Amino acid sequence: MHTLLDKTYFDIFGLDEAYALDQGGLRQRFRELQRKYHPDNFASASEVEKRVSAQYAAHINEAFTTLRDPVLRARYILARHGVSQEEKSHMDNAFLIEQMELREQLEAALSSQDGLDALVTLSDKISRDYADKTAQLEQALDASEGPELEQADRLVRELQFFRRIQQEIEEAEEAYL
Amino acid sequence: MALLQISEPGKSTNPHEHRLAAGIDLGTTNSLVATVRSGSPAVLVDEEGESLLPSVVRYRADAQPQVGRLAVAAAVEDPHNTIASAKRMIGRTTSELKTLHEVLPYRFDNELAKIPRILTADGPRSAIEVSAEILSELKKRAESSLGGELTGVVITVPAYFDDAQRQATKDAARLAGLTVMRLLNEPTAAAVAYGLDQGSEGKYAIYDLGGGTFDISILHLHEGVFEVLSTAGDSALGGDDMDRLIAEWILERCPCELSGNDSEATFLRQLMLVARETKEALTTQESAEVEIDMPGGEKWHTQLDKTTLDSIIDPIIDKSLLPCRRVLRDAGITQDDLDGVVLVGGSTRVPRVRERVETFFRCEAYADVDPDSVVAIGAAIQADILAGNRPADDMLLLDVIPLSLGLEIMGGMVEKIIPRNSTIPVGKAQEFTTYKDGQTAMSIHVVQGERELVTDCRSLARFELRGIPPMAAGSGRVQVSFKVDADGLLSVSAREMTTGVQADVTIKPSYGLTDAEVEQMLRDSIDYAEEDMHARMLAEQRVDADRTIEALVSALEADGEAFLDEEERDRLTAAIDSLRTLREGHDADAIKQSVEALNALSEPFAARRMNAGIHSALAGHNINEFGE
Repeated sequence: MHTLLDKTYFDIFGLDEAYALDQGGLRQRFRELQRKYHPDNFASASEVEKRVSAQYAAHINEAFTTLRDPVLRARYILARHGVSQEEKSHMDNAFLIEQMELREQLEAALSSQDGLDALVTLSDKISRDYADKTAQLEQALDASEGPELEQADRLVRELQFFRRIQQEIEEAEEAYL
Repeated sequence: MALLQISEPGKSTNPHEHRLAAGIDLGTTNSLVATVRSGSPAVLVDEEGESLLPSVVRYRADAQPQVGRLAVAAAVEDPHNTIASAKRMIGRTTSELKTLHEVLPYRFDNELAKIPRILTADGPRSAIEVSAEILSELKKRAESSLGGELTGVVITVPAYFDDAQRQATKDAARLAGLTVMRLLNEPTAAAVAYGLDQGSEGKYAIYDLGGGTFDISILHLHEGVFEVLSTAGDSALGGDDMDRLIAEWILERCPCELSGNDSEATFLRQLMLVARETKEALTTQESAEVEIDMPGGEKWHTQLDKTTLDSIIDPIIDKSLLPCRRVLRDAGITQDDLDGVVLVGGSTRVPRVRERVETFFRCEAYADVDPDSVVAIGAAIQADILAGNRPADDMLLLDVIPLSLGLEIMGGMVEKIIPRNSTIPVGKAQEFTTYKDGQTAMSIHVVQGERELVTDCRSLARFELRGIPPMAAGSGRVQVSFKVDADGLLSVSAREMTTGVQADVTIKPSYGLTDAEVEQMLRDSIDYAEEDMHARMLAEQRVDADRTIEALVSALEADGEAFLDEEERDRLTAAIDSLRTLREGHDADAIKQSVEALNALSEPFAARRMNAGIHSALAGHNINEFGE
């Protein structure tokens, strides 16, 4: 039986399988599907129907969460091409050095007098780098001759690193409130 | 509209049958019940015309507990037996209560008990039972003013309530004999009351500061869909804390020494009461007179002005702004993206709160619906929809879990399985491998919280998966599955994957009561002592059977021919008939088993109907877009 649970996340929302994505369209389809399958529609149905609807709704949520997030979406596409996150891959030397520098800058910012300003400056810089990498990722995954998997995998790992450090900065910023 | 409804899955076949449903706001300070009558929601009042029921219960030795204003009136003279703010205690352990830094005028039983119980003249009582008394009172009010039995209720909980607190609230409802159709987050309920009322679209912050809990949610309202983008809060922050700080301010000034012994409970209760009255007076006045009866009997006076009050309560407001910052970040927006901030909860009446919230969010605060009743109104609207009284298409609520759910891994660290702000329902599975040669069991510890260390998170449950066949380290694979339902309640199961041997364990977090415990509480409680326990259990099972039969019969009528062959239909019909016969009998267990059997038998039918839903959803779009 071909059910929604067997479809690809892109098929669920009627989207082409590509990294570049119409976020507005995705959200619109998401709402339409949940209007149909959310357990609230089955409040007076049998236990079984409630359970099945919860399963569908959870699956739709998972698909939506994955596709709307730039990192998770890239991971999903990579996984469909057989590239798993668990496999250790080589990080680019240049990026390893960049990582170390960013860590040092974060520590310097944390111990400096005008810590909050330093954190904001660092966070802005990372946001710009993040946007650059996302653009590169789109080029790598949506390349007309097929996705450049190795490069995309590397970029996703870099984006994940940016996320972690961005999160640390945000937590540090909270301390200034 | 009504005609279309008939063929909708899960809807009543009789669109004109109105089911009695209510929304309940079970508050820290006050509770309310509301319902939708002739299409418009209204708060229900008691015989004296009061809508607010103080969330206070007084236990007495040889009489029914008093609930509400009568209990409040007795609070000062009988502090040990009069329990207020049970919501702050529900779903918490004794040791957690201590970390709340509260001076609770109660005596607790065994400190090691899973569920702390307060020693009262009527025996030890847990916060779950206190809440059940309040819910019973509201049930009575609703049923007498609606003139019939309630089909189901929607009960609101703070969005920031963790799994244990939600489960405990649901247990309280069960004790009170209520069918909970949904636990609804308070800020979401408030948004419903506002959004539907005013047809608002856009992104809103809901700032909900109640008596003892604080929630902040960011919602996106679009064409009747209320999508919660993020939520945060503090389940032990509210107006009570302001009162406490004001009481401390008075205590510092009044000429009395407290020794901390039991006899001062009355004085402390009075002090809290005066503090609250002073705070309330200062919402409209610039200065207020404070008068207290000293332990020695003489009276003592002082003045508190608004500026001083502001400085006393500012730390509480500061504490609420940290989660405000976090929700914006989690929603990926800034203050400039907001279309407004809605103020909910009695404590937002304090002018200083409004002022600082507007400054923080840089937008106008809406407070035109009464902040005390807005949550109950929203819950009533949701209850009306869930009961099937109006088409579900009118509105859809998409809520999130407030705190991440995870498992303990090596070194006392937490591996997050479901991150906070995940839209519910949600399910996730994670695989773990055995780490020792010949390992036959794996212990699984479920936690909730954002911190990296297990000790900093809330422990929800521990269980062991046994029966793993001995294998080399790393070759046994155990899949742990988390499921969070639309009430935000978690269930966890684990399974060994490599061999044919399966060992499934489904757990209910340890703070929830087991069925046996609920039964025991029912037996213990005075309310049900005269009732035949068996009759009550039988009645519960019959309701369940009726519901199952009704749902299945209407599904069969609508789609039976389309999705089932004759043999399948006959089998289902036979199972329905057998349940109908048992239902007329007196064996509660047999009815329960028969319901379960019927559910299992109808599973493929439900799956096929659900699947068919896809095709009708597809029909609205260009088929080519979806592909096959």
